[in-house]
Amino acid sequence: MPGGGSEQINDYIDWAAGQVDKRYGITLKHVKVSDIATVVSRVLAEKAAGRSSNGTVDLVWINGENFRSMKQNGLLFGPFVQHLPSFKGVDPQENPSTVLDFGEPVDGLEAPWGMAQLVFMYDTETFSRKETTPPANARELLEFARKHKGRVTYPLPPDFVGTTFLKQLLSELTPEPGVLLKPVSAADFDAVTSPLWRYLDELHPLLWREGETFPANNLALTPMLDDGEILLSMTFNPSYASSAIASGELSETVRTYVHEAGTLGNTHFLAIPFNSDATEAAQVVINFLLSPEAQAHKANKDVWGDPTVLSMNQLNGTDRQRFSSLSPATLSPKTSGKVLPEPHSSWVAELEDAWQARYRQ
Amino acid sequence: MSLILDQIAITLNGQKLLDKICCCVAGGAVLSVLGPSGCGKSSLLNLICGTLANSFGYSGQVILDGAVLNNLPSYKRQVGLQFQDHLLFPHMTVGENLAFALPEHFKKSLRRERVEQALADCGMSGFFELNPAMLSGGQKARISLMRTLLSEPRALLLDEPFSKLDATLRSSFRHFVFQQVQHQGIPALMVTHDEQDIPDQRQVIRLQEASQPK
Amino acid sequence: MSILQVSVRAVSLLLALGIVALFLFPVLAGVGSVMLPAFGYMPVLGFETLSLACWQKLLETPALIEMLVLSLWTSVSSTVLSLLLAFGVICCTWGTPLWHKVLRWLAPLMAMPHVALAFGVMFVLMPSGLLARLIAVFAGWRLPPDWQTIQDQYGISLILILMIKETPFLVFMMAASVVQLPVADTLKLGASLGYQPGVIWLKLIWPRLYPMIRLPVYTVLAFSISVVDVALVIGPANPPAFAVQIFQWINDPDLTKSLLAASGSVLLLLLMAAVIGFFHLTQWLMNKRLRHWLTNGHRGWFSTLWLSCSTKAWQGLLLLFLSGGVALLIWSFVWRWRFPSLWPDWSLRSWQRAGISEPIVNSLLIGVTATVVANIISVILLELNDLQRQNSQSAGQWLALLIRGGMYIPLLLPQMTFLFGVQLLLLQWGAEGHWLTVTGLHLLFVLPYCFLSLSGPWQHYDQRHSLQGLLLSRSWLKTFVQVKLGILWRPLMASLALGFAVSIAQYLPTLFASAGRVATVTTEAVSLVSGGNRRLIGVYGLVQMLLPFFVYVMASFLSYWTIKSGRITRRLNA
Repeated sequence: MPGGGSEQINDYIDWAAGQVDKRYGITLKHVKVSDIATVVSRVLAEKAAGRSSNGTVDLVWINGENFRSMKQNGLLFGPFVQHLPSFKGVDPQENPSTVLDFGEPVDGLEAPWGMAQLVFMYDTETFSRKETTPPANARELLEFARKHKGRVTYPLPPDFVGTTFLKQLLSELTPEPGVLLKPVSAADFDAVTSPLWRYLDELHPLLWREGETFPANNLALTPMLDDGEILLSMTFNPSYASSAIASGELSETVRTYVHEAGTLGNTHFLAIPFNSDATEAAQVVINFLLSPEAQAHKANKDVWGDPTVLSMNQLNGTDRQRFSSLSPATLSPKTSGKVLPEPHSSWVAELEDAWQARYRQ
Repeated sequence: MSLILDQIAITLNGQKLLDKICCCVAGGAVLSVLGPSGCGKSSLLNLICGTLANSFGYSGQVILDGAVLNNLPSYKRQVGLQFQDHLLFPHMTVGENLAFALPEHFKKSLRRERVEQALADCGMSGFFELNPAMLSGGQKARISLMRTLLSEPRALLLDEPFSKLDATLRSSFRHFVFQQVQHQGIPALMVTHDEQDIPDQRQVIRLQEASQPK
Repeated sequence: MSILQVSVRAVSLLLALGIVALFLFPVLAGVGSVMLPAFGYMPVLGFETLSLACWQKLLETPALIEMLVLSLWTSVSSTVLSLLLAFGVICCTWGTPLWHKVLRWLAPLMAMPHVALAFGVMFVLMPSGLLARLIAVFAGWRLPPDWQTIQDQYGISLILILMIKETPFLVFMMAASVVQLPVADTLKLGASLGYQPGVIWLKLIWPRLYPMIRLPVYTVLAFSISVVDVALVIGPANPPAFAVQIFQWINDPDLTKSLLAASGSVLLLLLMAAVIGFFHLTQWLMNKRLRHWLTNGHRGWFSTLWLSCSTKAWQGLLLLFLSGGVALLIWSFVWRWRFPSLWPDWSLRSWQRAGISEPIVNSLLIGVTATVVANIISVILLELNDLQRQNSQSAGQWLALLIRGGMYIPLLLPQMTFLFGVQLLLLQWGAEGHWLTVTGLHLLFVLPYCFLSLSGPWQHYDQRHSLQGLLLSRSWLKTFVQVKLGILWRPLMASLALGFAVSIAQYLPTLFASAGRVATVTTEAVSLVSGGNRRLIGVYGLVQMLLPFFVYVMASFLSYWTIKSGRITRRLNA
């Protein structure tokens, strides 16, 4: 899964590799891939070639469509998650997305690692000249775009964040958000999505470049927000603003906000391919990455700022202490609002295709 | 019609190449310039054409039909030039090579007719559609000369026009050239290193390597 | 004795053919392996019957026509404009002191990787770029204008970049060809017939020059129709050019999109064939239709005007290129630089944190290896060809033609098509992800350029030098190294620099062969585009520009200087 500020992620993984080497004598070699789908197709090719052991990949970072693809093709080792000591810190009741990955039951085949939630960003300095509060829902966003013509946009679907933004709008606009949690084949797609298309038809002419083109992804929004080319940005990493401020990409006056009804969120996971020769070591590494210590280090905005999957009420006092300070640019757990569940992953492709059919010039 | 060279001197990097050449060629006459290679013959032709490279310096005047040519760009001088290797354009047919030279004022309908006539004049009727590569050396030479003449020049410069031809062709082509010059009534200046080429011993400039005209 | 000669000849012929076949194998296998998935057969994914279903799906792609038209429009117009511009540059500089200046600038210009070029130009032209900031000072803008100066719908910024990239290459090819024509005499003759210089170039030289540079023009077409990296940086996004769409399908998490990508790349191949056919047809038609224009006696009015226009355009492109480099330099040292400020806060942080050492090492390793191997193979091929030519002039010519044709094949096929096929093969063999695989794939592009740049000098080499050397030294090896390579040292160094520059610029081959696991400066730079971090883009763009430049400087140093008994001395034939 591509995430914001890959520099920080790499630093964190380097740290983790050092820790597991020191403690357990395990060598963790980080292989950077531009797209995790290539790993999925690689494991698939290995299976097709009959290589059921001695696989080249021992640990993958996945979720959503890629997980579904691996699970359906029988490419995963496990179930193993329930046996991990650190998994006790996870509370599936409080956080259902740790066991339901985009509507797909996890079945112990992947261990939750971190959280993501769609959040929006604005610059209070450019804002105060124009506006006092950012839009709190889809309707207000439309009004905002009308008032600031050409200063709002979103990443081009099928970019991950762009598609999530569509799903966010859909879950806000459709009368029955419940059907989104079931496979798309079980719903009347046209009826469910028609409010979304009506909304976008109205919104697009008001957007940046009159909605004829869109930035490639959410990271491309950052410099545009900084220059004032656009007034709102969005990301899937709640602490992105803090790390972008730390790296000089955004002004210190940037703040994060969410829609009042909540925004979509999900969990990203770690899994082990079926033909790995190092399943033991892989489980040790996953267990370490799930420990309060590693999770707290990860949640530190100076390190990575990826929210933890652990529930505070499952932890003892000392471990809870580890998760403390947050920068002002990041929302505190209190203001981050409700986390809405992701629609079933089968909606993604349908939405993307329908979007392209309508809005490709 | 006359071509006058008045006190022409050419220098290369400050060294004298040609000095004080004075002569007058009348219409229909051929002035021969004779000398070994490297004596500045070609530079003289380039000066008259207006294609002398910048590294050369010169003084004196080139006067054609009473007008000084010195400051005219070469394409406005109306001075025809004939090379030793006839330089027919390989991407055009024989006829097109000739038509290329015809002035613009010939209307489309007349152009073909005029070219056919020129082909007939040099005894090559029916060669219009031929590829110039198929021609013999003598034929190439004749087409090349006809092409120059069709552009209606007011003077003709011949740069070793016979040197690439074998002995038998040479005399017949020589005859053809001088006949055409006389017929057109324009002044011609011929550069050569062969005594036999000279048509009129009274009109000769002899250059030496020492760059002193006799 | 004669049997021995015949067998040497046969062996050398077989060897040459073998090398060419080996070289072409991945290309043709790549095209081949993309064909089956294009018709729905991909057992790895569980598709085991041939069908036309993915063609059906391909045709239903939203805005397919728009994407194809966009690809056609950007490639054809950028090629035609570069061709016009390059020809203009040749016309107005030929025979002037500028000519040598232009030629001297060509090599470093061609060495510039196009991605870095695109970054630089993007930083100048974007709505919050250098140009807009300068205007903002006078216009009093507080926010950047909502202008589509880059990634515009019509691909104009893409065309601009392709032009900056291709014009120097075409000038280079034209300069190499035009010296074989009697230009000086033609200009004199044309002028004596009353023609203006511009018209002489058009009517007398162009018709002979174009057939000589036709293949390079087609490679430019093939490159621009299947270019992905530049199009990702500065091309339109919605919809993108067709090659970019294929690229996105390949990277789609939905693995069945691979079938779509396969049929898409076959369609791209067809498109490429159609465009080349169109160019061929146009040339033939112009030959037929414009004969009258050739001989209508029109001697030109504005010839000097278009000549000066093309000089101005060339200077404009150079200026844009230079200001792009400056913009990269500035951004790489920026801490904060918001619009409309003209003066940034500086910082060294981007350089410290860019993590650029590993990509640089990989780029150097791959680039140097590929270049050295490519030059060795080129020299072997040229020597084998010389051997044939010594035995029989016609056999040598045939072999030369064959090798040359083979070398052009990977340059004429759309990269996207056969590289995707190669990737599928590599995946099956489990060979991707190693730097040697990447190097091997780079060779497909480095070798042709090295071979083509060396074949001219090898052809013009006077064999009598070798004969004399052989008689004096009585050693074939000594003669070859000390005499032949000594004489051809400069072109060899130039070819090394060119090969390295070609390798540095490769994006798709690197990405496909490395499975994302061998990061080079170029792959990192392109992936940064989506990251939107202008400071890092500045660092990577600049490094990408400087690497081939340093190699170029080093190669030209080596071609002029040598170390003799511990001291640096000037080479004799430099």
